[in-house]
This record gives sequence, C-alpha cells and structure tokens, in this order.
Amino acid sequence: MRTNYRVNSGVRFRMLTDDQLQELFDGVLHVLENTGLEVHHEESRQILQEAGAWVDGTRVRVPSWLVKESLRKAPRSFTVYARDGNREHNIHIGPGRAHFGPGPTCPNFIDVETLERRPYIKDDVSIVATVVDALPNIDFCESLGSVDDVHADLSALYEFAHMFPNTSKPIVAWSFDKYDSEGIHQIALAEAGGQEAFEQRPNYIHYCEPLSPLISTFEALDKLVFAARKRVPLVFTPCAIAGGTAPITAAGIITQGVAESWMGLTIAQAIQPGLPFIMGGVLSVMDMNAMVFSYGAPELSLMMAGVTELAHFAGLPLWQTGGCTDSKTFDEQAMIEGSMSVYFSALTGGDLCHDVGYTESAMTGSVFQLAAMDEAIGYARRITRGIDVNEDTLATEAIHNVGPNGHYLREPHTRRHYKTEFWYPNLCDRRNFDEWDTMGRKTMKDRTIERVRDILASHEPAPLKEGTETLIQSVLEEAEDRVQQDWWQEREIAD
Amino acid sequence: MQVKKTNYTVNATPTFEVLTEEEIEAIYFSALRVLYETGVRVYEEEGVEIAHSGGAIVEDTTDDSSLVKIPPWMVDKALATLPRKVVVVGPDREHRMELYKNQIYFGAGSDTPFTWDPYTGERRRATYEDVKNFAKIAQAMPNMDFHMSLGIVQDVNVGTYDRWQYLAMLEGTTKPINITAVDLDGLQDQLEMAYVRVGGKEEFEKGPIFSLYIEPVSPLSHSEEVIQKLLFATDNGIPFVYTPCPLAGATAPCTLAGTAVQALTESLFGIVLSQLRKPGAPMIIGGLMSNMDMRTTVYCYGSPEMALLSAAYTQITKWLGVPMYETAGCSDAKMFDEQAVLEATFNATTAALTGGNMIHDVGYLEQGLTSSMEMMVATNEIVDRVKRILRGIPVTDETKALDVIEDVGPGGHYLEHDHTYTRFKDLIWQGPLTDRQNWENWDLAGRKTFRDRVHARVLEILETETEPLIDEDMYKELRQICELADERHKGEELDFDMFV
Amino acid sequence: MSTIYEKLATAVLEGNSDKVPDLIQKGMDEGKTAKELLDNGLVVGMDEVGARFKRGDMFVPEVLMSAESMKAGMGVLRPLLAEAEEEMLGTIVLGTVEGDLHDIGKNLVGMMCEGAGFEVVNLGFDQPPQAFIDAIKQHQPDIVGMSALLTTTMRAMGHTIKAIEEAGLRDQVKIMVGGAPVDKEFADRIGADGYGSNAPAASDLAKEFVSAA
Repeated sequence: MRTNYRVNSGVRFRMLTDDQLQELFDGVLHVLENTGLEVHHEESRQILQEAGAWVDGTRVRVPSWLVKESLRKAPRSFTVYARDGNREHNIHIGPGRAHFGPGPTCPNFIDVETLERRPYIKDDVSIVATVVDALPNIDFCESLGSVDDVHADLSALYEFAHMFPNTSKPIVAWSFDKYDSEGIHQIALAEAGGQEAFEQRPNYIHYCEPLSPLISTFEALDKLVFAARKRVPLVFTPCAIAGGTAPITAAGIITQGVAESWMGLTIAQAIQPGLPFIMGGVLSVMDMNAMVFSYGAPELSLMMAGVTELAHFAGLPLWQTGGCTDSKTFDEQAMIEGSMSVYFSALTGGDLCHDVGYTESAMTGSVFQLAAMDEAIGYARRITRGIDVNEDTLATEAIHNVGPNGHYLREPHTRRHYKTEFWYPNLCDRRNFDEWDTMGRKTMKDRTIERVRDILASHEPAPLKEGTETLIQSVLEEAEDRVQQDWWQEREIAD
Repeated sequence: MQVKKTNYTVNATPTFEVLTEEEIEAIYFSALRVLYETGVRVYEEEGVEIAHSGGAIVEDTTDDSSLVKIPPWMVDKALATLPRKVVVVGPDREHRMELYKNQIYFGAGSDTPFTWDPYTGERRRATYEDVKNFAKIAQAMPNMDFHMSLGIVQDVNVGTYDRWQYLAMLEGTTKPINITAVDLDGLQDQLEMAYVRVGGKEEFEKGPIFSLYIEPVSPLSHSEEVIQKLLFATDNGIPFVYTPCPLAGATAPCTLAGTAVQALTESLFGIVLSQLRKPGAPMIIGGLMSNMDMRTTVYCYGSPEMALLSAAYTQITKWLGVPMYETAGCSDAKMFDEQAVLEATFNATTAALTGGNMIHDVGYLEQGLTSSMEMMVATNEIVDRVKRILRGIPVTDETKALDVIEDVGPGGHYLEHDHTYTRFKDLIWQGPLTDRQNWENWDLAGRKTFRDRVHARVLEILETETEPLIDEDMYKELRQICELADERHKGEELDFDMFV
Repeated sequence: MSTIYEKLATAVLEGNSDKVPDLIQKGMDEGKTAKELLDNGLVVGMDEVGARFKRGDMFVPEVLMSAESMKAGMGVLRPLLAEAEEEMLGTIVLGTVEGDLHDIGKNLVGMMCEGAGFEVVNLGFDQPPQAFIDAIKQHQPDIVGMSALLTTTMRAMGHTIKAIEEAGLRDQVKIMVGGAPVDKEFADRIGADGYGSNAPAASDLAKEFVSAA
C-alpha cells in the first residue's frame, strides 16, 4: 500500500497558467465595463438596465460585479437528455468531459451517392441525423447544412423537424428567428412531455450567434430571450476573425470573443437565473491571401484551447470547434486539420465540440468527414484516457512469470486487459500488406464511404413517441401558412 | 504602460503530461524490482563479467548466456554518472541536436525492407538510390533535424549493407545521422567512414556526427551483438540509443504501465553496463513501445497506445534525466493516404507536446515495413503546424489589445489596423502544401488533393540539382571502406542475389 | 439438445480446454470414433475460429485459448487415431534462424498450427542450420517452418535451406518461411515451398501442404 499516491485519471493539458487566465478574465471585464457592446434589442437593453448595466443609446456597458454575478448563477455542470430516455445518449456536461457533434448551416453538401458537391437539400438532414445517431463517438446533432429546397425562412425549422425523428442524441438547434424557435420548442415539448418536464430534462440546446466585433444583433437576442424564458439550454457563440473582426493576437481575440458571449450570459441570467449557458465561440484566423476564414488553421486549435481554459476558469462550459477543414475534398489535408483540432478539443475537455464534418471552410458539409472524424475522436479519446498505473497494471508479477525471452500471449494478465487497454479502430486498417493487397488495396477514403453507406442502409434510430410525428407535420404546415401569408402581404405592399 | 508583472507564471508553450510524478516513481521502482528479482538474460560474456564485477548477481549460466540481476544501488550509481545532455551534430557542424529535457527534434526511421517508388507508384524493395533520395528529402525538410536510413539497401551484399546505407545518407544530407549496424564490424567500418567525413577521430570526438541505434530484444534479453555494440560505442565516445521494442500483449505486459516497466528494466540494464564500462558515456533511451493489434497480430506503429506510451516514457526519462528516443510520424496504413496522416497527426502532436528528444520513425508506413517520401514531406508539414501551437498564447497588454478593441469599437474592423498589419505574417501560419483557396479557384486549378501536392513536392526535391555534399576524393575513400567490407564478408553471402 | 459434435465444436470455439477431454470421452462412450469426433467436432470448432478471426470478430488471446483446447483434444485423440491407423495432420518443426533472437511471430505460428491439429516441435530462436537438420532426423516432420526478422537473418534462411539440401533431407519436408521482411518473391528465390504473411496464413499453408501430400 503506497500512500500520498496521486494519479492522473486521463492526460493533463494546459495552454495557459492561472495567472494568465486571471489576466485574460480581467481584460474581458474591462471591455464589457469600459468599451461595452452595441445591443440592438430594446427589450434586452431594458433587462440589462434593470439588472444594473449602464445603457447609453444602444451602447451597453456592464459593470464587472454584474458579470461576475451572472457567472455565479450559471451552472458548470448539467445534463442534456436523449429524447427517448436512452441514457447512453445523454450528455453530462462537466469538468474534464469533451463531447463532439457536427455544425450547422453549410450551403453545400457532398452527395452520398455521387460524391459530388451540390446545394444542401431537405433529404440530407435525415442522412446526417442517422449517421450521427449511429457513430459511437458523435454525441450531439446539428444538420451540417442550410436546407435549400424549402422556403428560405423555414430552413432551420425543417432541419429540426427532420433531425429529431432520425436521432435520439441531443440536438443543438440553430434558428433564423423567434418563429423558428417557437416551432422547434413545440416539437421538443411534445417528446419531453410538456414545459415542466422539459425544464427538468431538456432534450435540445438552442444556438444563437452575436456579431463581431461587439454587436449583439436583434435576431440573436430575440432568440436568446425566447430560449431563456423557456429555459432552453443556450449556446451563445460569436464567430470572430482574427485580424478581420477581432484583434489578430490570440489573447486579443479571446478577450473580445468572450466579452461578446458574456453580454448574452448577462441577459440570459437576468431573465432566467441558473439557465445552462454554453459560451462560444469560433475563433480563428483569416487566410490573408485566399481571404477565407480558416477552419483548419493551427491558430483555431490554439485560440480555442485558450478560450476553453478561460471558460472553465470562469466556471462555464465551452462550445468548442474541431473536426473541420479548409480542404475542398476528402483528402490528407482534411484528416490532418480535422484530427488536430479534434485532438486539442479533447485535450482541453472543451465541453461541446461542434463543426465536426465541415469541409471547404464551412461551405460544404460532409458525412464522410464526419465519419472519419468519428474515428479520430475515438483515437483522441484513447489518448486522453491516459494510462492507469496501479499494482495490477504495473504487472511485475506477470513480467516475472514470463521472464526473459518468454511471451505474454497466453498470460491471464493479457486476457484480462487486452479488450479494454487497447483501442480497436473501425476505419484505420491494420492488416499486413498481403491481406490489404488481396482485399483490393482500399484507402481510408474507400472504407469511410463504405461505412457511411452501410450505416444508411442498416441503421434504425429510435422511433418518436406516438403523436409527435403528427405534431411535427402540423408545426410545419402552420409555418408554411405563415410564410405564404407574409409573401402575399409583401406582394400586396409591392403592388 | 506595461508594468513588468511579479508573482506571475507564464506558459510560454502548452504543457502536457500523462503521468503524475508518483506514477512515474511507481513505474521506476517496479522496474528496479524486476531488474533485481527477475533479472535479464545476457548473451555476451564480457558484459556479464562487467556487470558481475560491478556488483550484479549472476545466475543460471548456460553455454551462451547468464541471468543477470542488478541490485537497485547499482542503478542509483549509474544514474549519477549518466549525462543528462547529449549532443549529436551534422558533419557541417551547423545542424546540431542538443538532447536534453523537453528539447524536440524530429527525424526518420530506419531499415524498412520496402519503399514506395515515387515514380512508378509501386511498393518494392529499397535500394541505394532510394536511401540517398530519402536523405535528400530530409535535407530539404526544415522540420527534419536528424536522419536515418529510410530503407534497407538491398541491391548490395546483405552482410555489409549498413556501410552502403551510411554512404548513401552522407551523399544526401549534412544533418546528424542515427545509424544502424549489422554487427560490430559494420559499426567499426562506419566509424571509420565518419572519421573520413569529419576529418579524423579527434574531430569526431569533439562532436560525434552519428549516434548508434542498438535494440535489445524484449522481454529482458540482451544479445551478444547488442552488448558488443554497446561496449564499442561506449569505448569510442559514440552516443547510442538503447531502445527495446516491447510489444504490449505479446513480448511485454498487455497493460501500458507494465510495458513501460519492462522497457525501463531493459533500458536500465544498458545504462548500468555503459556507466560501469565508462562513467559519463552518453546514452539515449527509448523508444518504440506499442501494442499488438489483437485482431491482425501486427505490431502497431499508428495506434494511440504507441503515442501514449511514447509520451509516458518521455516523462520517465525526463524524471530520470536521460535523453529520450520518441516515436512519431509513422502509421499502419499500407500506402500514403488519409489514415497515414491521421495517425501521424496524433503521434507527432503528442510527441511534440511531450518533449521527447529524438523523435524518430517519420516516413514509416505499414508497421515500419515500408518507407514513403510523401509521408515524410507530409509529416514535416504536420510538425510545422504543431510548432505554431507550441508557441502558446502570450498574454500581455499588447496581445490583449484592450485599447485596439476600444479604438475599433463595435461594428468596426481590424484589417487596416496597425496591430494587424505589423503582426499577420508572423501570427498566421501558412503551410506550403495546405490549400485554403475557395471552391472556384481550387476547381479552376485542377482540383488537386493534398496527396497530389505532396507528390509534386517530392518530385521537385528529387529533381532539383544540388551541389554534391562530399567531394569526389572523399567519396572514393568512403566507398573503398564499403568495398573492402564487401570483399571481407564475401564468403557469407548466398550464391545468388537475394532480392534483385 | 445439441449433439456431442456441436458440444465439442462449441467447447473449442469458447476455448474450454478442461471440457474437451471429457466431451471426447462422452463421445467415445456414445460409440463415436476418434476420427468422427475430430472431423465433426474439434475441426468444425477450429474452422469457425479461423473464419471469425479473419472477419475480425475474434482476438488473438481468444484464438489461442481455442488452440489450447484443440491441443488438449488432440492429446487424447492422437494415440487413438494412431491405433486406428487414421491419417493425421502430422508434425511441424519450427525455429527462428541463426543470429535472430526475435521469436514472437514464430511462437504465434506454432500455437496456431497446434490449434489446427498439428504436432509442433518449437526449436526456439537463434537456431543454426545443424539444429534444423538434427530436428528433421529426430522428429521426421512433414513441414519445417523458419522465421527471421532481419535482412541478415533472412540470408540465414537461405543458408539453412541449402544445408538441409546438402544433408539430403530436402525432399522429406515442405519448407515454409515467414517474418516481417519476408515476401513470396524472396521465399521462391531461396527455394522455400511457401510463405505465410502472418500466423493464420502460415497455419493455412501448413494445412495445404499436408492435404496436397
């Protein structure tokens, strides 16, 4: 028995020291208190003013005590539930736990049959959701695209309506406006069993996006206010571009991005104390030659690691970013970029890592990228699980029994451990050359395509409750009626 | 005004650890137990005698070997004289590795039977020309700091191929080299060659231009040839890598901690023997620890367990104060594909984060059986990315940019701000092979994949005319050592060509 | 109610070494012959093991447990089969050649061949040509298997085959070679009869050799 024995449960990674984090934290408070943000939402300004913020026209400055109070109210740990009660699909957000899922709103999609890039359509939503549901290392769902073949105002609603039946993993719902949000919430409630049941066991997360630099837009806040009132867990994530819409330095973009997110936090906690709030956002650089916001840059991983640590320092979960690429195709660059960001995301324990499956700098969603990244996440999770060091795993007895020149293949010690100690890949091939050759020299790309098609041919997600499907239809019909009316009204005005 | 901050610690780079100090100790003290109670088998009489006269218990002596048990105090004594820093330089004295705690250097692996021909796209046995070409690639790669023979030269005699490999590498690179030797004679010949290359024994001793790879066999077995090489290297001031290759679940315990215990036992024996022979003899320990894939029986070079073990062992070496031979940039994929870089991204990133010193096996595919120039060039780019992240996040008044944020204000932009203009070239990483064009431009440019670009780069390097790195006279002199060796060992060859 | 054959096959598949001899006894009591119990029970079980392993549904330690139970069964059946003058799979002499201390691959081949029903004589590592020659004379094997991990010791394989030829024993045995750097082309070049790229392939090759004989 050895005392004073401290072990690492997984690996430990740190980008910044506490001293550095404290300084960044103070910088964020400084920006909120001194520079302030433009808040383009009257109701929110009123809420902020009542809570103690200084409102000057549309400019709102938040004293640091109010930010700190809001941070104190927000939970570090909470659970988001699978709609069907499948505990394996619940997400427990808390220290040291990294989860992964796709992102929203790519205009294009890689067609599963032709492998060609084309606009994202309604039918793609169920494909993405089904693949998400089947992949063991993907924990939550987003649609990977903006539906192109429905009324433009309704694409977010259609996405949710088609994701929900095809996966019981929690969904992070993106929406255009409050109307979408209402429809989405109605559908979620049908499955949860009403508002009160939902508040106890929320089955989706709402996603809003403020604008950099330092603008809380009307739409973002309108949705935020709605979600906060309905007690829907909230992601509030700016998408700042270093050198474009934020300072080029990592410390600068983190400071600004967090200030933007915490304006949302302050409003949300003023409306609904204790609302689960996941702070953003996506921080990366702009390629100064191609003028593309990079989803594959090493700076993305660097900045995201920094902002994750700051979130945890402040006691909030983070909306991480990873598994995405600037590559236009499924190639080695896509794997390098995706794997590296997935790895750093896992290392930081950034709570919900999204954008897995983005290619072409978020212009094209790909379930192939998603499936390959499922493998990379599995790989990363084996590393971050670390090494158990105890009397049994140190194996001095087994070593002694085997002795010089022996082997361990038949040792009971081996039989006890080989299934859990080693990771077994799905898409990485470990056959020897002869066997690989005989089996047709398949690359990882070939195997990934096969796996995705196999999932789509065989996987059956858990069914919805009776009645939910009918409700989804009526929500969609109502929404269609509303946009049609709007259309006629606009026409009348034009006439 | 930026005031110099007190009571304030900075992570200049990220930090990463697998084990706590207590866990490292647990592994170390377990290894001491195995070294003393289980012992290691040694197949070389002189080695046994040195250990014995140094205090080891020798048991169970047979015709060819003895069981040697080392008490813990002998290890303490050896560690006291073991250098914590080892230096290996290139023949030009410009390329230089300062191997000590947390210094990272990447380089190739060695001795793959096969290679992917960059021109025909076929996998075949490696030749002299391949090894020379790999050295040329390594020479051109800014993130490759040392080199090894990425291919066994198989178009020469089998018993003397090591000299030809060294010659081929000397033709292609001036970076430090980690050699392999067929046997003691091969090592002696290559040392002669190094003397020629660097201008004599004294010059070599001032700064050795190669280190030697020595591999004891797991579990716990030290062959005659291994001990001979160890003693010769020790006597001649050649830094050497003493690296067992335990295979968790097959030639080592299935648990990663157990594999580390056994590997450390094997390395500690090397440390004890070298320090008994000559206190202060420079050593590097390692190196390749991985698992057997229990579905295919292969030795994994791309598994997460390998990356993890490499990282854990690096921490142990940092704690012991001995340079580390890490493993990364390698894969179980059969050809250069998405899997190859996925695995290399994880193991190269882990190695860089951990701070193991000589990080070898860049360019390996197919469990170390095949080398690939594409793999080396791609890994160079992966390492470059990781190095960007290793620069960390400086937190200062300038980088926080509170005043800049105030100046730009809500709704403004930073593109034209001096804060951006003066920094963007330094802060935004650009990889020569990484493509960030938009769809239209990429489409117009012919939809090239990363593999296409890497391949083009390989050909570009191979086809660029360069000045010879060694002059003709020196080449002749080196070649003569190889030819004389061929002549001496002619009788050992088969009476037909083995490969070609 | 499953038959004795099914029970035997299952016991092998599950790697239940203790149960196999009892089941064989039970089968004999039911009037089954040794040959029937082998062909319809043990071999069926091992064939399923092989198929599952190839599909990636079984792991090496499980395969070795099955091989162990097959070996236990053969221990009981071998004398009975000899008595009945039934054809048996025969004997394999295995060794890592001179100069090479690596023998994990060869050990794996040995265990898998035992699992296939062969009797295996494992010479160990660093074995000079004479050791192979002596073993051929002593054990009269049907097959000799050699392994090497290094290029220099691949050469020793060539020397060993030549020595076996010179000793006039080449025609008595089939020779198979293996090891990470070895390939079919090389096996042909040094005059081996076959090459196995891994342990299961070597075991299949050994079965092919004896069924062709």
